[in-house]
Amino acid sequence: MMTKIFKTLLFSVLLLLVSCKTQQDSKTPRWLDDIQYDSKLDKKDFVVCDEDEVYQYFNLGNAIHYHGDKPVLINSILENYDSTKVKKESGLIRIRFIVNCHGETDRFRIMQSDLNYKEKVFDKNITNQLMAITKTLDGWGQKYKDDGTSVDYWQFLNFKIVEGKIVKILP
Amino acid sequence: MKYLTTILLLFFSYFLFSQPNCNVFLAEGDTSKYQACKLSEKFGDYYQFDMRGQAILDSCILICPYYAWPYYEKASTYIKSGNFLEWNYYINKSYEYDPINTLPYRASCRAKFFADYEGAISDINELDALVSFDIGFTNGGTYHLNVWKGLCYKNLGRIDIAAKIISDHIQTKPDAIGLYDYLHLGVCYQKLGMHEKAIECFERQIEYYDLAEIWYYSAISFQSLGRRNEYNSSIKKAQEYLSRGQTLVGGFRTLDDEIFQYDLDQLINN
Repeated sequence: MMTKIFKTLLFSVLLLLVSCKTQQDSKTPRWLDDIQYDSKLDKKDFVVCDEDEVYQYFNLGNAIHYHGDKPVLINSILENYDSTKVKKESGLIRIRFIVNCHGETDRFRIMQSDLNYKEKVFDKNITNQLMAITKTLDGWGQKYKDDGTSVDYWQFLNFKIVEGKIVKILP
Repeated sequence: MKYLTTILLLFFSYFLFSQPNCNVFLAEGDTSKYQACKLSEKFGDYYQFDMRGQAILDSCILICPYYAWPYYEKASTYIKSGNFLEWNYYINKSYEYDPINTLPYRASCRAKFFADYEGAISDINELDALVSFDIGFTNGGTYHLNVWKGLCYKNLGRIDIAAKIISDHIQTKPDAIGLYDYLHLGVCYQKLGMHEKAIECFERQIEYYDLAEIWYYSAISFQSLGRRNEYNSSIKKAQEYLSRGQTLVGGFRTLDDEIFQYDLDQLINN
């Protein structure tokens, strides 16, 4: 009986908390996986045109919206990545960033795991190369709303690395 | 009729792991799951990435930690930001409490987003061993999981196995042939050097969905067979279709065998 009362009470409190959450706490990201500005990592002059409405990569068009399409993007990465000077490590590396309404990029963040999705830290020669190459990619296209306004959007690249080599670039 | 069947299959598979009727849990005497289920109905009020909606899912998990659905929903948001660490945590929790409903999705995502083809094949085999009914479709419904397994083998370079799996599926389940199955089978045959069979598949593909890829890959096979006129007409058609955007399109990723203008230019110039 007591357990039932406790569960009902917990349910009511949680409902109340959820209702209260409709008032946004400015310190809490509004969207899942948002990346906040970090003065130590990010360009001071990078403009996010509408911080409250950064779209996801799959909104408003193709998954990869790049000048020359995905083959050109892949070539740009593979031509500049040198697998001969890295450790033969394997896993997944995600680099996520914002493409702003002008088609410029910043707020790059990296995530790493082994091939079993367990967090790990790769050889710096791998991650530094990938980060540097990703930062130089300058063919990202602008995305537009129906009214013609260009928007900011989150983009990511997932690199599958096997023994130091890039075997797949997704999505 | 083929289209109607496909649409119906897509419709039903898309909602494969939808929210159940909460009253089912009440009838089973599981008040925790019932309360979590009722609360989870509020999640639909928010855009998937909205932290307020995510907070609802967190609350559902607090109320009923063994209710799979909120874990599944959280995983399906994290996958869309490419966040494999969080995705893996939540999808494995969903699997822990509801493997049958989770395995099709986990198999789909492992291959689609992380090129984890071995993991996807393992999930499909596990599902096949668990259920006595048809194993169903990938999330989104584009592919039957048999064909998906074939595509995983194709990506692993086991083209012969891929061709056999996809061909067997088409033969044994004619009512579950997907929109692009013949295209992928044709590409497998092409890679195996079986160009006549490849062209047959591309011709069959037209009945399901006529798109630039058919003509691009047909051109490759005609070129290999020395059939110059057909090669030229296929190139022309591929260009027409590409120019008007009649191609494979995956909103979340580049699809298997999808082509771009770059690919066609390379074929023409080499």
